[in-house]
Amino acid sequence: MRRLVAIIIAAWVSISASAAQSTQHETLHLHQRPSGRVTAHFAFAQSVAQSQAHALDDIARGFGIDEMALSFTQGTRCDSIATKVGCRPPGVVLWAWMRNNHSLSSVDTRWSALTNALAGTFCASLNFITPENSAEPQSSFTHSSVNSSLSSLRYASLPREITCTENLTPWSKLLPCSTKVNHLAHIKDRKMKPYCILGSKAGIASLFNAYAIYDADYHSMSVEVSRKCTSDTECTTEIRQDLVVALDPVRKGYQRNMDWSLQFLFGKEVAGSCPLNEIETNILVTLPKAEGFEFEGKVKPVYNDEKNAWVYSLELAKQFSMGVKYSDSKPDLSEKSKSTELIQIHRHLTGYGRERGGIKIRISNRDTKPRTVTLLEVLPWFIKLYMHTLQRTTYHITSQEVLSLSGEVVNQTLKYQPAIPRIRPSVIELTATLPGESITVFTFQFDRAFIKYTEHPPDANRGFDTGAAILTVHPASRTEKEYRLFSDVLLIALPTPDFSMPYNVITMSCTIVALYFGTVFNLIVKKLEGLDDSQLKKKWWMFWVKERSVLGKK
Amino acid sequence: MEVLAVLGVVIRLALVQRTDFARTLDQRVEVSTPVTSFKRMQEGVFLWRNNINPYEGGVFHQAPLLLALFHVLDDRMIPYLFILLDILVAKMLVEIAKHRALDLKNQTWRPFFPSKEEKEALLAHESAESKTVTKESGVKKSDPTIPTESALVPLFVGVVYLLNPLSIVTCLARSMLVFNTAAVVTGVYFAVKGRQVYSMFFLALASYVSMYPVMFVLPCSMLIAKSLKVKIWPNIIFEQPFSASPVSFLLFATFTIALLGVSNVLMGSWDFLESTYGVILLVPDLQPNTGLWWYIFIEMFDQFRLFFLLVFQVFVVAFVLPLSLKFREHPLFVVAVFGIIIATFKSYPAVGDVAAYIPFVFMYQELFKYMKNLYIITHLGFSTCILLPLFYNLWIYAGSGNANFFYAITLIVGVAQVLLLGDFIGAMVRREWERGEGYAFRGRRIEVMLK
Amino acid sequence: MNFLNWLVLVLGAASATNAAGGAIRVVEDMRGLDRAALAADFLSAGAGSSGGGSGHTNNWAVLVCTSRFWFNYRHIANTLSMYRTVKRLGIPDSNIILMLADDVACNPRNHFPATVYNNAGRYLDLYGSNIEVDYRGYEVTVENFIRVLTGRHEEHVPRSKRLLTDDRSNILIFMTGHGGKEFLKFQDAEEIGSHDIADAIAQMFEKKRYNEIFFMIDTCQAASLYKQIYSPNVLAAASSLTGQSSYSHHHDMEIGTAVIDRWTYSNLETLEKLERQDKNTLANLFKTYDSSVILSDPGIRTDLFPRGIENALVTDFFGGVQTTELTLEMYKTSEKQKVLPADVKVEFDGRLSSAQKDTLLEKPRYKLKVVLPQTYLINVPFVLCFGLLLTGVVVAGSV
Repeated sequence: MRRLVAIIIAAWVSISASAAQSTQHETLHLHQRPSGRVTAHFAFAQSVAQSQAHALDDIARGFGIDEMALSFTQGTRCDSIATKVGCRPPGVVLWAWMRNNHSLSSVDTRWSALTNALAGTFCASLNFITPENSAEPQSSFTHSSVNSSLSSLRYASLPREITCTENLTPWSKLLPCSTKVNHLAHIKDRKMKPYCILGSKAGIASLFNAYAIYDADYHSMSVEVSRKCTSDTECTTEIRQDLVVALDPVRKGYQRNMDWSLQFLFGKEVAGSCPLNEIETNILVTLPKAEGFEFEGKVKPVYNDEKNAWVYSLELAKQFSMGVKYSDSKPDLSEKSKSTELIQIHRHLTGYGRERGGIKIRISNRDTKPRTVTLLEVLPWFIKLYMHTLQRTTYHITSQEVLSLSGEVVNQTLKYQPAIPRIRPSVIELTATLPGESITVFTFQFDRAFIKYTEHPPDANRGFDTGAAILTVHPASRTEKEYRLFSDVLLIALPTPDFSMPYNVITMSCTIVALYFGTVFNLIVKKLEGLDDSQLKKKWWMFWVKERSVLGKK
Repeated sequence: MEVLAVLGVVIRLALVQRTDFARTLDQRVEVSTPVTSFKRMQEGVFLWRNNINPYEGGVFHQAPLLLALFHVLDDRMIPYLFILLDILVAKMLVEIAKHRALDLKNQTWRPFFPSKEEKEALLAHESAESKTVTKESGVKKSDPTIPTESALVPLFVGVVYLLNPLSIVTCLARSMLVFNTAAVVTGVYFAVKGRQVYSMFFLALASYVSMYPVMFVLPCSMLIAKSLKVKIWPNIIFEQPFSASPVSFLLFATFTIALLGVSNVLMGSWDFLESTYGVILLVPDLQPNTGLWWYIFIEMFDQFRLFFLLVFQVFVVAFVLPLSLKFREHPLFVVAVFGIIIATFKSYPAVGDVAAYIPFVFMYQELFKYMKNLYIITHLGFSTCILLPLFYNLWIYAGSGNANFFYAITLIVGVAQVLLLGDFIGAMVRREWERGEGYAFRGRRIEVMLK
Repeated sequence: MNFLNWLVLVLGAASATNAAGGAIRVVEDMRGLDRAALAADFLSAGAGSSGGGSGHTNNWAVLVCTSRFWFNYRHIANTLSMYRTVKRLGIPDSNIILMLADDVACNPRNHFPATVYNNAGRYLDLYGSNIEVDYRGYEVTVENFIRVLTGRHEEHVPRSKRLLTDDRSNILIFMTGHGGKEFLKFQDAEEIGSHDIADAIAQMFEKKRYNEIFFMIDTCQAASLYKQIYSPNVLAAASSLTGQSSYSHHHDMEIGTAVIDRWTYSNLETLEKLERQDKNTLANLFKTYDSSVILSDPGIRTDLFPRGIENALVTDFFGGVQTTELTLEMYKTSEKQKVLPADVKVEFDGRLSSAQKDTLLEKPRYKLKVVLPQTYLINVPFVLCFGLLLTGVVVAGSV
């Protein structure tokens, strides 16, 4: 931790001393939906040159990383409350492109080292990501600038990982405008202030309030690092950090209306713009209505047509707050559950009992034209898949009739990697062109493995979470970009043995083996002897036995 | 009796054609194990047909030649193949039983080491007896101290196999155990007939499918020796029961290596060894079954795993040589005993193993009167047949019981089979003693003790 | 440095001088003094020399909560109370190993998200804004705890998860959870025994990983857990004696569980009043224990602590305070470069370590192949070989 502190201070010093770089910015986009929910998207971008010091740059350089993305998320149903900004599934999702020939160690070794280093940096249990639960997808992460012949991709997810203040603390210390380390601040004050001082004393990061963020319906904190080298010595690391929080003023306030303000949502005000010249601070607000509202606060925004939002400009060292008040502030709750995404994916478990089950994946394409998608499923090894049970059905989206052969999914390529128990997970990668206005349903069956006593977690009856399936939607035209959708996370309960039984089981099973051995051994080794009366002698010490023949006859 | 045999076949055909039992039975853990399951065979065939190595993952653990067989077979023909195999098994059991019946008939009751006078007296007695003995039953009616035994009806043994619900269930579930049983029974059949090469080939096939039939090589070689040798003195110890053994072992080893080599040529690599024999030896897949291994290896800590694996494997094969030596003039009995040992202590047992040894036990019906615990064993057998699926359901589906319920019943299965073993061997020891040394005690009431 | 701090330093140095009986002295004029002797004085001032100063140069804390599940909220609160105390009194996050077996702050059952309170009035949020949990959730295991203590980590474990102590470190080890006679339950799945703890501390002594240890434990029958320790310079305090249970203090009706345990509460009542330069001794702390309020008899073990609890300051273990010596000239250190302990690997270093060399020769672990129906599976060589085998068998058999 000391080292991190030193790096941050050095980073600030060097950033302020170096030349201005235009790719650095902080943007807060507040987007309110007709249902009243406000999604606050904090986006921070910075670029770190070769000479500067940054913890993530150190990691990228040390492990030969070309691109890396890490996200910590809690909350589901992102698609109905947030914009299409990259909803992530609950837990941790990490993928990284790593150079094949770097420092003489293999990609898998560096992957383990990377997860450990990230675990230390972000105070999370990322070290549970090992090559045993990681995958190397081939068609799912194609449109990046990485040369796939020189680098390998590793992907893993930990759906059970929680996100709390201890993750936000180090994350916010990596922000570009983090001017001071604040963790000593509360030691100075005997009494804790009612809100938290996190990350920054200026810029949009001054809004961070753990009590508000972790009370949200959905929050996701992510880091994306990409390293571009113009030559061997000239490398720049671009670091992008995003925090998406979906807050609900309708639920929070007593009035149950759509009015909100920054003070209401976060409990704080923005402490002015970032004092560093190279970093622009922007606040954008998108509202569901075009009129019938007014902005509160001293500063009024300007409407920007191309961004389709109201833009605020902040001033240095001046407290900033804003709010919105509607003339008709009743929320439109009907829209709440409707998602406007063109392509959606849903996944759930089928079957009952703890012996076997099935998985059903439903992909709907609302677009009129066919779209090419890639489905990536990474399932742990204790889910024993039966690929011969994989079936696909395609329906029309409204009439629900099964599509004829001409309307079916075409160009289907299925790639499969069977799981090796305790060594690697099963990976299914399915690329297909979905017909327009259709729903495609994939089903397959699996058996649940009976795992060893020591392999169960301490709360074994909860079950194991399976990572989300990734649906990569490939661009239909040159102007579009590839994007990824994540499905639901499944909770699969495995059959549990009785955890109090190890010694008892060994005792009882070995008793039966001993019984068998003893009986058979005696029968083989000993000889039968016939004894008649003359040979039967009473032992001298058995004085309580009456003198009689064994046969009962005298 | 023939009617009953045909009934056994008809039941199988009816159940295959009319009902869907096959699918549900295949999914029952008492019937199909990770190394014999048909669903996994289907998965293996699918993977192999589609460019993926079936032995790479943790699902498919069966022999490559079987994989090739099910690759070429049509789906609709498969149940009939299993029924055909069952019929063949029954037929061969009948042939073996015929040989056994002859053997039983020729058993005489006389001391092993008679003195010169006793020898003459016995020979005179025998020539007198031969006029009074009846043709059909071979019972020596004249001597009241020799027990009256009914002759063995060979067809009964076949009926026992065909009508046994455990073997019907195994056949319906299309478990690979049927191949195992068929190969073993064929090997024993050819051994009884004295055809060394064929016998060793089928035993090699059986141990290629699952490893444990390697134990049968020694008694089968003794059977071969027995049928090839001329009797020196009726029912006196055969002096060279192991004379055929070296050649048999050599043949067995050759055939095993040949089969493994052919599999390598088929699969293109030696990967399958780890996935088939490695699984049988090291038990990584801990699916519950009727045996004792699964729960102890679920609950075991990793440090002790290897030791207990070794111990359990050794206990299966520990008694091969001792039992063969002790009962060297009854190799078929040794086959039956090994069948019981394998069914109790192998790594992935199922009810099909029990169905396999029961006919061999029924070939020794004369021993039943010496067995003390037969009543208990049969009742334990019936009750475990009911309780095993019941408690499994309580654990896995209802959630109101836990693994210990099912485990307790597997313990009872183990106890029942151990009792059967002890009784069976004890009965044979007793009978042999009565036929030989006990001859001196004929006519007297005595106490027999194991010392 | 402001005036107050300077004054404190001088006073502190002066009082330390008094306490140490002249072993450390404020030196203003270095000329003509034997520097080697001064250095030797300073360095030998710890570890068993006459009375007074503990001789530690840095403070570490290992705070462990071993209980999982929501109803064990109070154990998390115990540990976090201790965390707050040691941070407040000066131990930085880099010197604290915090192990929490479950997440209660962001637990969906928590009515007050991102907070942990140890009192029903909810005056103080222990979670705060600057918290670093080093081991959380499933990572809190007996194995990891012993690895932390003994320093025997696997490769790649980051620095924040290591206890990088040396022979002049004073360590506070605080454990709380459910326990019994000579065992402590970790996460409802495993146990650590008193012998394990004793042996771990013995390893630490042999590897010179501590100067003094203060072992605090708040569980049922807690005293049985320190009974087996046999290494020197270990002071232990427990919430109850063998055969007694430890009790929780009070509930918060809105959180729905008990929020603090009695013994920890009793400790906090005293510790909250302390400041960084406090001169209270551990004997004073132990005197404040009242069995009728704690409802169990706290156990103290002092036989392995020769310095005596009257001489041990509370801040010797809870605070990051250290005695300093003022000099006017520079003190030259050795020319040789400082060598890191062998078990601390340098991070982000791509150099090949011993376990890495085998991975280079490994065949690729992941193999994603296209599922494509193959036509020619049963190949000619196989048919030939198999046919050969069968004919060989038939021929040999008919001979």
